[in-house]
Order: sequence, then structure tokens, then C-alpha cells
Amino acid sequence: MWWRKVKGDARQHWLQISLITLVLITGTAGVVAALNAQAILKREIASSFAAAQSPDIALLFDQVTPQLLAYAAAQPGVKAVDARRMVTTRVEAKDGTWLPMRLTIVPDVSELQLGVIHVHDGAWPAQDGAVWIEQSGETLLSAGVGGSLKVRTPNGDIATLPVGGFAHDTGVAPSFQERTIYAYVNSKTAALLGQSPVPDQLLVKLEQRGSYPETLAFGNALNASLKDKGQAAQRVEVLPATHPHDMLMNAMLRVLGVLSVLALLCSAALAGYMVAAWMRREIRQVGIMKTLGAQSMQIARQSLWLVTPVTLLSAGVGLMVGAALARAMVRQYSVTLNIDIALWAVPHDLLWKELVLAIGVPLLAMALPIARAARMTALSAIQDAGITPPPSVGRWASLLLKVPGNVAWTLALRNTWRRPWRLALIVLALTCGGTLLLTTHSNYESLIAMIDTSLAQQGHDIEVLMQRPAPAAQLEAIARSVPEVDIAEAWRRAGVSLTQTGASGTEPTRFALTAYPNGSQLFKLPIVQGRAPQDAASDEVLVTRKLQSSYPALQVGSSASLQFRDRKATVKVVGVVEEIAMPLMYTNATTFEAVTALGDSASAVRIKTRSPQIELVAGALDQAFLKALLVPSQVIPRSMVREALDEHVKVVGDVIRMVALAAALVGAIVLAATTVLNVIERTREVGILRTLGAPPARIAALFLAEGGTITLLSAALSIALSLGLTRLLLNAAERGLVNVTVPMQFSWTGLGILGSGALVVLLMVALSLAFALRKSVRETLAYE
Amino acid sequence: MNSTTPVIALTAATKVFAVRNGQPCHALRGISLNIARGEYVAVLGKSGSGKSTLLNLIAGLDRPSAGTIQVAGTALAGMNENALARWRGANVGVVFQFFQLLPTLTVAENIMLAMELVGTVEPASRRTRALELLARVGLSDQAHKLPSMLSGGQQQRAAIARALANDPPIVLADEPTGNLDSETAADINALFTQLVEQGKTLLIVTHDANLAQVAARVIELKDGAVIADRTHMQVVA
Repeated sequence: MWWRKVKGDARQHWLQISLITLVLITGTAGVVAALNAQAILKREIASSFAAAQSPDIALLFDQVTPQLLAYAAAQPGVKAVDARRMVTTRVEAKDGTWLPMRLTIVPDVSELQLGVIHVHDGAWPAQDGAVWIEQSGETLLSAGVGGSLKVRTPNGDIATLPVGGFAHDTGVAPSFQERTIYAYVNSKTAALLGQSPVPDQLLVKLEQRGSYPETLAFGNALNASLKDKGQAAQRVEVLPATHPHDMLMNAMLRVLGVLSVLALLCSAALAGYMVAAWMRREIRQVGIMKTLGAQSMQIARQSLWLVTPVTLLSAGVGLMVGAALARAMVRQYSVTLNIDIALWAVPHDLLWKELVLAIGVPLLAMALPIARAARMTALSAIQDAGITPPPSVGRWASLLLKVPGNVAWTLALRNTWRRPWRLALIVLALTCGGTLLLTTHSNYESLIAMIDTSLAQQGHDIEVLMQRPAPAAQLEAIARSVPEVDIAEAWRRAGVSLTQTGASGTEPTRFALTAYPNGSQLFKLPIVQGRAPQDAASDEVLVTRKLQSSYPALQVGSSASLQFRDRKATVKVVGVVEEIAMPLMYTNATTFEAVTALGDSASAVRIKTRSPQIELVAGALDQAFLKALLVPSQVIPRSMVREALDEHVKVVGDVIRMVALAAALVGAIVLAATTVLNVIERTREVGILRTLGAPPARIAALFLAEGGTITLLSAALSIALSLGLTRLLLNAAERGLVNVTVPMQFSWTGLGILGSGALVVLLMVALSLAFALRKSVRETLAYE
Repeated sequence: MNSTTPVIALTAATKVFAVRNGQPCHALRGISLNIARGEYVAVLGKSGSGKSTLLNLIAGLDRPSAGTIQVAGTALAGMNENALARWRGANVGVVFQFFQLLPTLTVAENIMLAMELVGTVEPASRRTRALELLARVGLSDQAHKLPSMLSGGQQQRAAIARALANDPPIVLADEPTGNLDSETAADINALFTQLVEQGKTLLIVTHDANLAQVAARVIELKDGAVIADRTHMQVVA
């Protein structure tokens, strides 16, 4: 008999059951997608990076001999060694411009011991005479496998070589982000490119890598033992232990996970609310059944028989949809992160946890109202009047809230507050969603604005980096001979190190000392603290915020001991400048000479043009320098810097969009369910209003006013909270990521999306209401 | 409309509901009925006899499948939902078994809302009129309370006051004492009598024999058809 009742209930409550199922599937799919993606990516980012056998330490020599390699390999604690030469040259891109190309020269590309690459497309093992390209650069180049590639040789000529294939190097960030092509050639191919095949880097992988200071200490100890043998390295570098975007991705995935759990909790709470509303309409039936002798457990069992299959179905479908979504997310991120996904499986314990969450949480949420209704006494259940009075909090709100002179609007206002807990849930969910949506968009736009500001603060339009230093006057004269060049200045650059270690102990000790000519017109970086070095001064420097964050001791007024090769010099920090994520020290030509003693030679020319067609001028400069037999290693127009910065911000932007999507999911679940539920459970109230003479349009206006009030309240809270949160996140980005002032932008696009969401809410209210108003007044009054 | 014109006139009114197994359910079978202004009519009948359907058709809460219905000089057929709502608010006061007061409005506000929706009473006079109506039903001191703070009898009296908000010529009540104890039902009964004395046309659907006894006319339905239509004198005889 009870089975018939269950079937009858299922038929009668099909709309609510469908809504509950939809809400639970959405919530479950969200949480499963985020947790699965988090689990797969966390594992695969690490394992993909590990599979590349990325070295821990690089020791730089003039030449790495086989004996040196064997000696290093024999040292205790060393797991593997390898040797290579790494040079920067240029390659012709699809659009005819010349992109920087990092060329890794090894005896045999197919036999790498460290920094391992593997075939993506092409004939493996790598043949002599062909260039292998990291696959993320494929879209930037015109040539496919077997196609011709034009590469600049050290003397400025162009060598045309075939593309042997595309390899995957999971240890580097994607080429499209870095605007750099990664290429790999055998020693014999290097000769065809005019490059020396002799390796100059000794790479070491440790059996057990420790912290940065420990790894550095190991490298220095190894170098000391080499020094004893008369083969000391010029420099020891500790290489990163994780993927370039590892930290950012993990942080963002954690945010996604938290949001998704929130989505599941919201969906379960809503399922509970729906069942509560459904049970209210069942109360008289409960009374009748109790009068007939049914026990609380029997009544509860009937409803549980109905919601349990719904929960199981929702969990099953949600798990499948979530798993598919997770795969799509991971596939997308594997491209962005340039990693391999070797294993798509999710750990079994996570699957069990997801199953428990997907079934347990909603079932618990729905069991509570069922238990409450089943425990009512027969008398109170039978005497139930049908229209729910407001709970105690709502009752007080009802007496306090009033729109003077208008009872209908008073009704709308009080109905908004009728169920304070539900209102709180809706406003909380909408505010969370709205705040995250606005915050993520505002952050993204602020970062873009930061790039605009930063580029505007650069005095030059083009920077030409030379393969070899040349006399400054000669470089400037060549540049000025090019039409449309307004200002040309030869800048100097040298890698220096501080003799003291960075306070954080995790930052590289080497950075670039960059010098502008005395009386420079192109050095325009804002000095945010202190002053610029005086032209006559020979010991004054400026530091960027990024460098200062690595070496907090570098405060204005402090002294620093710099080492360039065997030279040591003490300089005074006189000011601080801002430049995006650049650990640099700027100075005048006099101080640079005092530190480096490199004489008049310069390694870069910065140019300001009169022409808006900067790329054309860049091309002309390239030709002019090549004609003078001074070979540029890179010609960097402003647009190239812009593209590289944009691509990096895009990584953040992609994650931001995912977070915003998850936030929107939470909001959408809450909205969809509550708006429809609100209208359904107040169908009889609609009937009363119609009986009293309210035309359908008037009723629609009242409900829309309620929806509008909630939406506006949530939107106002979202805007207020997003302003604070955006500033907070930008402050964190300023301190830990970009080290420049980020101008805060309020995202009107985000507000537009939020506004569209609000319109969708009102549309849903209107649709639900249209459904209720289609019924005759008699039907709405009889609605149970 | 002169005094002899019936205020409620049904001609061959039929209502058929579609039921789940495809078989139509004839709730009303071609009922023709005239009710004069100021009449107090009780509609009796067993459950499923069509009493409530009859009331719903007269109130314009539902539409007939066939036949015509004219109430307070207006033919309801052909009126759209907006026009029907406005007409209903001004001409018919409806009292329900379960009171159907809006729970977030105070008792006085429930009455004022009915006036506001129709607009027949000036905004400035609405509160005064609501309080007057509440005084008439003995609820002066309950005006500021929410319906949930009132007893069942008080709620029903408030519902009657709301039904009179726009001073409609017709009051329709569906089992108005069905949810009340006998003492409270008697109070409600007395209120209805007063309404008739004040010139209202009253049609009550009820099982309550006491309520039917006071009515001047009793119409009895069975299986959707009128099986008896007697005046009080005939009933007493």
C-alpha cells in the first residue's frame, strides 16, 4: 500500500522532484569537477615536471669536458649529470617578425639525461641537420614537421633548416606565454647554425633535493672541490624545483575546491528547503495517516523512499557529469601549463569521499524536514491551516517593515523577509557569487591596467639587445641613421651578484645591473622613494621593488656590495623604482663603469620613434644593425612586451574565469531553485490576491519587486565587498607577485554580467509566475 | 438594474473537469438559477455534489464549460483575467473555510490591501474604513496583529471584514464555519445575518445545519444538479 502512496507522491510532486534532482546534479557535478581536477592536476603537474628530470643546479663554465662531467657524476648525493650549451638567437615567426629562440645544444637531443624532452610530433630519434621545437611554439611558427625554419646565425646571416619535429618539454612555461621559441639541436646541427657545439653548462640532479640554501650549499661545495682540481665554474645557479606556474595553479585550484563544496552545500540546503516546503503541504496527510495509526517512522520511511532514489540518481549523474567536466578542465590546463597528463584516474579514496558527500549531505539535508514533519502530533497536523505563518524572526520583521501608504508594496517587502534563513541563504549565495564575479573581473582588469601603466612608464618604444657588446657611440649612430628614430640611447647591462645572501634565502643571488647613459631622456620609470643617481656620482644605484622584496636590506640610504666577475664594488641605494616583476638595479653610466670596468661598450640600444608603426621601425633597425655587422640577439618592440605580459596575465585570467564560473554556479543553483520554489509554495497566496481583485500584472509586479529587492540587496553587498576584496588581492599581488603599484579598476564588464544575471533572476521569477498564473483562481486556491 | 432583476443569474451552467483516466467529471449539469438582491441563500449538498464549483463560478474564480452566468449586472463570459479580477474585487466578497488571510500583513492591512487593489476607497479613508469594519466584526483591538496571533474564530471574522472592504453587493462564503467550534460558528452566523439585514446578497456553501437554518433560501445539490430549492418557510414547514 505504502508503495502506491510513494508512486502517487512521485506523480504529484514531479516538478519539485525534478528541481531537487537538477539542483543536486549541478551541486554534485560542481564539487566532483573541482575535486577531480584538483587531484589530477596536483599529481600531474608534479609528475610531469619530475618526468622532465629537471636539473637542480647549473654550473657555468667556458667548456664542460667529459672528465668534468664524470667527476661531477661520481660525487656523493649526485643522482645524474648532463652537459649542454644554451644560447639565444632568433627565428622567423609566422607573421614575418623575428622571435627570440632559446637554443639548447646537446650531443644528441634523443639522449638527454636531464631536462628531458619527448617526441610530440616527428621522426624520433632526432636526426642531425634538423631543429626540434617545443610544441607550445608551433602556433607561433609557419613551419610544420619537415618545413623550413629561418634562424639567425651569430654573424647575422640566416640559416634555413628543416623542422625535425615538435618535442614536449614539460619543464618550461609555454612559448605562447613567454613569446620565446625553445629549440633543441644536436651538436652537428649547431655547427650549421654557426653556433659552437661545446657545452658550457654542467647540470646536476641531486638524489635528495633540500631547501634552496641547502641546494645552493651543495652547488658551492661541488664548485669548491672542482676549484681544487683547477676547474672552477664561473657561476653556480640553483634552478627552480617546481613548475613555473605550480604555486599559482595550486592556490587557484584550492579556491575552486572550496567554492565547489560551497555549491554542494547550497544545493543540499535547497533540496532540504524544497522537501520542507513539500512536507508542509503534506502535513494534513500526515495528520490523517497518524489518525489511522501510522507511526512517525512509517511516515518518514515513505518520504525517504521517495527522496533516496532521487539522491542516488543525482549522485550517479552528478559524478559522471563532474568527471567529464574535470577532464575538460584538466585538458584545458594541460595546454596552459604545458604539462603531460599521463594518468587521468582519480584516487579511489577521493571517489569514495565524493560518493559519501554526494549522497550523505543531500540525504541528511532532506531527512531533517521529513523527520520534523513525521514527528508532528496528529492534532496539530490535521488542524494545519495551509498558509504558513512567518517564523518568529519573520514575524517581527513583518511588524517593523512598512512602505508608507502602500499595503501592496508592504506585502512585497515583508514577503522578502518572510523566511529570514532562506533570505540569508539566498543573499549569502548571491553575494558570494556576485562578489567573486566582480572581484575576479576587477582584478583582471586592474592587472591589465597595470600593464598599460607600466608600458607607458617605459620611455622607449623598441629595445635592441646585441649579441656582443659594441661601442655605445657606434650603436647610437646606427640607430639614429634609421628613419623615424627620434631618440637612441646605448644602455649597458651586466649580471652582478650581491655578496650577501637574500634574506628570504629562496631568491637567486644574481640580477642585472642596468645603466642608462648620463642625461638619459628614456629613463622614465617612476621613482617611488628617494631620488635618481646624480650623473657625476660613481656609487649610486636605484633598485626595483622586486629586487628589494628579495633583499629587504636594500633600503634607501643603505650600502650594498656588488660583485662582477672578480671585481667588488660598494654602491649606495638612493632610490626605489617600479617595474613589473623585474629584479633589477638601475644606475648611471659612471657607477656602471665603476662596478664593471667594461669601458665604453654597450649591449643594448633603446629607441624612441616618431612613427606609430613601431614594428616597421623595429624591422628597419634590425636591418641597419645587421648591415653594420653588429648582430642583434633580440629586437623587442613594445607590442612584444605587451603580448608576453598579456599572456602571463591570461593564465591568471583563465583561472579567474573558472573561479567566476564556480561562483556563478553557486548563485545559479540558489537562484534557480529558490525563485521557482518561492512561487510554487505561494501559489495559494496568488489565488487569494486574485480573489481580492488583483490583476495578474499587479501580482507579477509584486513578485518581481520581491525578487528585485533581494537582487539589489545582494548586488549592493557584492559591489561593496568586491571593492574591499579587490584592493586586498591587489595589495597581495603588489607585494608578492608584480612588485609595482596596481591601479585598482572597477570592472564594468563584471557589473554588466552581474546585471544580466539579475535580469535572468527576474525572468525566472516572471516565468515561474506565468506558470502559476496560467492556472484558474480556483486551481491556485486549491493548490496544496 | 431594478429591484426585480436577479443579482445572480445562471442559465444552463455546466462545469466539466477532465480527470486523469480520461473520463470527464460533470461537477455541474446545466444549472439555471436566479438569486435576488438581498437574498440569504444556503447551498447544501454532500461532498462532491458541486457546491464549491457553483460558488467558484459565481465568484468568477472559475469559468463554466457551458451556459451563461450574470452577476451584479455583468455577464462574466468573455471577460479577461484582468477585467474579471477588477470586477470581482469590487462586486464580490469571498470568505473561505481556511480564512486565507495573508500571513505577513496585519489584520487591518489585509483589509486595506483589498481596498488598495480595487481602488474604490480613497487612500486617506482606507485605514478608518478598515478599523470600522473590524469594529463591526468585534475585532477593534486586534487590528495591528498578524493573523497567526489570532484564534480561528477571530481570523474568520477578520476574513469577513476583508470581504466587505469594498462594500460589495454580494458576499460568497465557502464552508465559513467548517473549521470553527460551535460557539464561534454561532457568532459568525450572527454576523452573516447582520450583513443580510444591511442589504447584502449572501450565498453560503455549508454543511452546517444551523447556518442553513438561518438562510432564507436553501438550494440543495446532488451530482451537479439542483435537487431542491426551498425558501425558509418551506423548510420550516
